Amino acid sequence: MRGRSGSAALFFLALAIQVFFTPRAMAFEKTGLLDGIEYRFICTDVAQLKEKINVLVILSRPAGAGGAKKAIRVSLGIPIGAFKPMAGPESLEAGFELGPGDTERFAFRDLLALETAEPGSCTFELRISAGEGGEEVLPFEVATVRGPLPPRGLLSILYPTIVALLFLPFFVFFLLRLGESGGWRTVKDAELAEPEEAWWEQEESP
Amino acid sequence: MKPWSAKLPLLSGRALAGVGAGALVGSFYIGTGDIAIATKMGALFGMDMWWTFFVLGLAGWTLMDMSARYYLRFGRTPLSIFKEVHPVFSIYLFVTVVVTTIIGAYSQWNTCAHVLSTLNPGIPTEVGGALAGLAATALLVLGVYRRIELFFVFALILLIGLFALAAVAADAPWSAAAAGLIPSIPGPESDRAEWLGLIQKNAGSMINAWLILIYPYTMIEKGWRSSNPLGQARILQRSRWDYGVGIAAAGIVALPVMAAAAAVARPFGIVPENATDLAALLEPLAGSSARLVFLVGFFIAAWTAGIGWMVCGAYAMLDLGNLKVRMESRSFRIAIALFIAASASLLFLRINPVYGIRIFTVLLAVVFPVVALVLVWRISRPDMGYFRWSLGSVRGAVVVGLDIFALAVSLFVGWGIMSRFF
Repeated sequence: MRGRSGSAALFFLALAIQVFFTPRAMAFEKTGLLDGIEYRFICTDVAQLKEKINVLVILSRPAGAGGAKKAIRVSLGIPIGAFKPMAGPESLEAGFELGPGDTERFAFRDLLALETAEPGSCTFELRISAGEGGEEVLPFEVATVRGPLPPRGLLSILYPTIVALLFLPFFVFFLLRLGESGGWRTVKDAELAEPEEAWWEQEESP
Repeated sequence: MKPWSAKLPLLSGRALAGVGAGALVGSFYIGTGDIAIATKMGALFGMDMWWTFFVLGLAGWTLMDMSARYYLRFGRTPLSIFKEVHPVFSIYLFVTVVVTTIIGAYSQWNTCAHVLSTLNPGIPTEVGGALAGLAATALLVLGVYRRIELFFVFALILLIGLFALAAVAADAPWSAAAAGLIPSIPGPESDRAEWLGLIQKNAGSMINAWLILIYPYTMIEKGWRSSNPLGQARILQRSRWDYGVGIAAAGIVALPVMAAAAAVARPFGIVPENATDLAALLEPLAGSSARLVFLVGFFIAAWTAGIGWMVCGAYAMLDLGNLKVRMESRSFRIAIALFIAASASLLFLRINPVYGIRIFTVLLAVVFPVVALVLVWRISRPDMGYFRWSLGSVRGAVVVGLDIFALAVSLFVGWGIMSRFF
């Protein structure tokens, strides 16, 4: 790889160094115990404006715990004006009943970072309440960064296509300058390289 | 010599192990599209739709085979097929090659940028993507074909290993994998538009429009050509294995990605918006090493796919201009420079890489039915010599059947996607 492919090797080396020095997850995670229920929340901590994020919830009750099912409620408070739940405000609450040994996986889905908001830091608030164990409030921050230029939908298809079409004249010039005159409509035999070894001829011979 | 009558010995161990240009083929099959589709399939249906990679891959393989047969028969470049039919196809392919190569390469640099910003959010998309693109350009401009081919073989092996490691760390449900090879459609509780759309997107990724034409360029670079029908048959036999491995690699890579998505995202009923989301979710659930391994694999997949797109685009430009097809030529390097400038400029749009797949689905839906129709029309002409259509032998009949199957898949998928828009 010396010399000719050295740039690629250097690039991978740079990537490896970066991986080593930036081990931080782009996800936030909180765990805890409330009235015998283990909870775990997982969420990305960076969101692009105009893009959606999910907040993952895992609730579990140890198998050894006795007793009847326990009711648990989880709700998510989002920064109004910066994020919007695509499935409506009712999607920001959920309730479950967990028996001993049960595990529930759930997600607050499709939380859209609004394009009208400025990039910055937004505070979310997760609330969990279980039986008589009271309520826990867990605030966390999600940073918003610049998102795509075109909005979602048809324009996200049209923009790149239009920009790509704008480059057509450069390629026309390429063909006019370097290509064979009328080559675009003339069929020509390929100019083959010299093979290292004509193995098909050797295998043909008896 | 009767068509398809040669009694060829089985490929030697050396030929079987000597996958070369197939790795280059694999590189553009395994990119942002392949990984994004596998992620979504895994998150929604587990591994139930793994079979689509192989059935659609068979259609892609057959179309690639047609271009190889044409080259071996006449010693002409793949785009000559279109020039022969009517020069208007040259114009059509010129626009297609330029637009899809720019967007194709851009999608890969964009993914590289997303991976880098996942590791370090301080790196802007434009900077990360441009760096990835420039490194790829340096590799191509300074490299020579045989070294590039070797580089792709190593990259392919590495990324299969990395994704498999990530899936193992995520405790993926491997036992469901074998069942996923049996063609089936999801049950009535699943959204039909969802799974049908995924199959069509996967077809866009696996059939890859005009990219299926590129294998003969690699044969020109290596001087693989014989004027003797038996020699042509030998070359075709070995080439088939080579690009077969490249296409099958896309399905193999898809498995651990689907498995990771099935293990991490499916239990929550979420579909990661892109594969870097999946990587971020892997960390709390499967450990930081799983995230790193997945991200590095994703980066290599996207980076090599970006190189693959630019190589294919530059070869096609040389072909359109009747220029000598050589990676070391000045014309090739100029074409690469044009493609990198154009594709890197799109980074300023900051579009989610997954939307790139939508763009492709639409663009390619217009392209591959036309490509397939022209290919089948040309290779079914009686002047195809040893490779002509013939029902006189089992091998000949299988070839005819596969050609028609590939054409039918192209038309079905193209029509299916376009009918959504009109």
